[in-house]
Amino acid sequence: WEMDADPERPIRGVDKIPEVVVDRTAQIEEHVQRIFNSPHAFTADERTPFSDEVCITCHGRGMETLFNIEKETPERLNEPCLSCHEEGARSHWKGSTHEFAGLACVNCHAMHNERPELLKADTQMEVCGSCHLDRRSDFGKPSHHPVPEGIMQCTDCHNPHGTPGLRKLVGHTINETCFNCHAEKRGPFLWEHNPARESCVTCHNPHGSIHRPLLNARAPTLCQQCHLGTHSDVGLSGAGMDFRVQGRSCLNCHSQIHGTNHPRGRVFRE
Amino acid sequence: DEDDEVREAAQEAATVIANRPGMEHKVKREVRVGLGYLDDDSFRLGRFTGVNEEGWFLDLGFRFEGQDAHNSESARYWELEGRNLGLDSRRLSLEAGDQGRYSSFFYYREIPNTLYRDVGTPYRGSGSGRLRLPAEGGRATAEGFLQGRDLSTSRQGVGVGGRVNLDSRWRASTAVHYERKEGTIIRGVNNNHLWTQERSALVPVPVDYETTRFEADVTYDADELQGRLGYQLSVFSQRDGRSLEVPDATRLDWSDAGDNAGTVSLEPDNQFHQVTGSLGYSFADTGRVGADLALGHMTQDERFVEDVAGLPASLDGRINTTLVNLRASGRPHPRLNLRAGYRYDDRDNRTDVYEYEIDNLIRSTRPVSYTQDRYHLDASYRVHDRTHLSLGVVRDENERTFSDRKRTDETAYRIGIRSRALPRTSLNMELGHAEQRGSQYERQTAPEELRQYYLADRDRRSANLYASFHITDRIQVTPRVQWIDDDYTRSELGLQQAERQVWAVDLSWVPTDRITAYGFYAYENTEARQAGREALAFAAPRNWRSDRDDESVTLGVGGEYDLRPDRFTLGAEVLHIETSGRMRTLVEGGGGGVYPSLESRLTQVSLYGDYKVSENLDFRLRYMVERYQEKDWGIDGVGVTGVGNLVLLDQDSPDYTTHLIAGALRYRF
Repeated sequence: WEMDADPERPIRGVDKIPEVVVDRTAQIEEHVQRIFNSPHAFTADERTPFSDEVCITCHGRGMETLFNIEKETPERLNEPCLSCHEEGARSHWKGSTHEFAGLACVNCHAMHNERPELLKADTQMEVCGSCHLDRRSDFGKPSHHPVPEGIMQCTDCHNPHGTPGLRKLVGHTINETCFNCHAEKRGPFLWEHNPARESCVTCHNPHGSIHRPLLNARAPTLCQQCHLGTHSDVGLSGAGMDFRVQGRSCLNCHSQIHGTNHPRGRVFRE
Repeated sequence: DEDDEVREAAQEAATVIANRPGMEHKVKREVRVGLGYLDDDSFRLGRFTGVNEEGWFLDLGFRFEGQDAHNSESARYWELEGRNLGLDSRRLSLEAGDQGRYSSFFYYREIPNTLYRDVGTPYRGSGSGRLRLPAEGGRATAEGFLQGRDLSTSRQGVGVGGRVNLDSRWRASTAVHYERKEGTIIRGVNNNHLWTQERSALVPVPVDYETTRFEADVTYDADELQGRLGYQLSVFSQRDGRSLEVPDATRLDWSDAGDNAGTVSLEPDNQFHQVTGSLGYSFADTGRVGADLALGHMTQDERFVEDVAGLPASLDGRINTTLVNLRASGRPHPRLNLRAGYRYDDRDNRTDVYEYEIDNLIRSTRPVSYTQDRYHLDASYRVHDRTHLSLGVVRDENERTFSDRKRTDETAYRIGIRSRALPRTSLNMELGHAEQRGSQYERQTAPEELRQYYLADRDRRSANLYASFHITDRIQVTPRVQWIDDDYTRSELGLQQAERQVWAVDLSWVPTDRITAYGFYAYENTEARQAGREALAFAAPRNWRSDRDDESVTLGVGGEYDLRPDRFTLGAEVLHIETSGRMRTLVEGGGGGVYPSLESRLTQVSLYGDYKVSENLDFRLRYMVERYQEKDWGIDGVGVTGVGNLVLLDQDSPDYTTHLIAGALRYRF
């Protein structure tokens, strides 16, 4: 029953019993035992005050946060956690978007369990997706990063506790984050495509898209949002398709769109 | 009362457990052995895991872990895990340490990515740096010279690192990650045809990348002051050389195609160094100020594939990046929460501008620099016991070089309310408005009226609604609505309007203590309109309009039934995802048309049962059927030469039904 820490945020398939507590006294020993299996219980680690005062260390002198946890303020709930954890990867928590939105540690973490990072669910996608329903939907689209497959996870790109970067990205900029895995697109190049240098999301939706590869729209439409010029008649007739529309459309020729080192590459073909 | 009894029982149980005599180092072992069968090749299923070819597959894994008893003199732990060992997505990881003293990790992983299955191409020699075409063939007979292949990539990565607590406040950590990406991707190759006589081929291009990342940092963590100083290095190496020779498959006769091979430049080696520093100081319980600094340096000096007068032999590309981030947050009044920040992000491209002549035309390169200043201020006020009102403003100021618009500014406002005032209910609502404006737009090329959408004047309106209702103790509903409307109507040509809306709901239901059920639904729609004009080269250029309408629907239901509690569980899930992309054009004075719909449809039905054979042994049986279909008018039914002036890969969109059955034993000892 430790899962009912925050009854207001269900997590699919895991947070099964929102407010249903079955025979709490019978389960109390099992509940307590789990914290002794967790990193919080080591007496040899002098940073774990739990070992001194056990339950009241986190739940308060009067065990105020053992029940009716939803009536407590996020600040009150976070206080015992932040007394130790306002450091390292969590040093940007205060002032972060999630903190400012009133989230508490227990919205995503359940201290009495044995999952990695003490998460409330088996996967990050379940935890994060319980609020970010639109992102979860993006990952179902034909072109997506392999998050639902369990190969990547949300924290490969984001730190939910806050970062110096925008959108809680692990890199200081959007592109820095993408280049962690796509370093071939970093450059510098002899010929640079301005929007690609500035932000990958000008053209891509990194969570998922119906347009391969993760594009915000399909070419030629996407390209024609900025370029007309010599190809401004491309795709005007749905019946009159040609080689500038079919196949990979603009990318049939302009395949080096992120940038190229070819002396002839001014229009990103070579 | 009952709560007090539970509290006492908890504290008592904790004390009893805490005072138990120290136990031995505890070790848990778990081995998984599974066997599965896929009855047909698939595309989506297993694209990233490797379970995508008809036949048997092994699901092997293990997890060994050990840790000292909680009251031992040390807090040592270790965990060795192997996952998907029988598949192309295998992973092996080791973590070990003494909590509070040191930690270390090692991993090896493979990530496959099937891009396209069963394509056909006349190109030979992938991986040699020079592709070939059969000399006896030609464009008209290309279909007779196809070789079938799957296009895919595979990443193999290894990493090792660790952290040491130097004392209670100082820590040092370091890590090295190495990844190699190999395989074949598609690239369009134009073979340097002029735009008036465009011809292209889609070519399987080999990929062999190496990326090495090194990170090291020192952190200081006291109660009030925290700091970090770090360094990171990323080195990218292209193992396929600088270029690829690609003969022209659009020629009628391939016998001399090798003499007409074009040179494609491959991604050059590059490096990125960065020094980072952070300071944070907490005060008065809720207040905190902080600063971050990141100084980066990118370099690239790969030799050009062609010697050109006016260009040096290599780029000598250098870019300096600077990021400064200042932030403060606090609660000056018990009801008032404030945060403010300033961010300076600069990309200073020090690469020379090269001006040189090629094909009788003077070219001048455009090394891109930009600077962004960003200010934000947010306030949240508790208007009622459990209701907060929030206001925020963000100001972005951007300057760019080699851009049609040197400067753009955006000011965004938002107002929101979040409340838990109503019993069993949580509500969050936010409305936003943003305006992007900028300096004089100076287009270098026709048409002058065109505005690049990311630089254009834009009015953005947005709304977000998130709610959570406990209808009963056993039913919870979480709806969400998201709406963004971008208005670019000051752009006479270019993107005019883009609107995205998402409607989503989650349902969680526990009808009995042995049955759990859930459902989720999401509908997303993006509509965009843009305007264009035929090139001035046309005798009487006509204006045109293009409308785009993308939709996706996700629907899922599932549940579990504990047939025999702690012994036998049955579960099922049905997932259906449908997407469509429609586009139409309307040309001034008549003309235009409706494109065929771009579609995908996934239906997955999964059934599984978990049976606990004995205290140590579990058995899981899983059956899944996946029906997947895509329709893409860009490639379907056109074969290799079905589109004039283009040689394609002989490919069709995936359309399959496959059944997967897998059983796995898990033994714990």
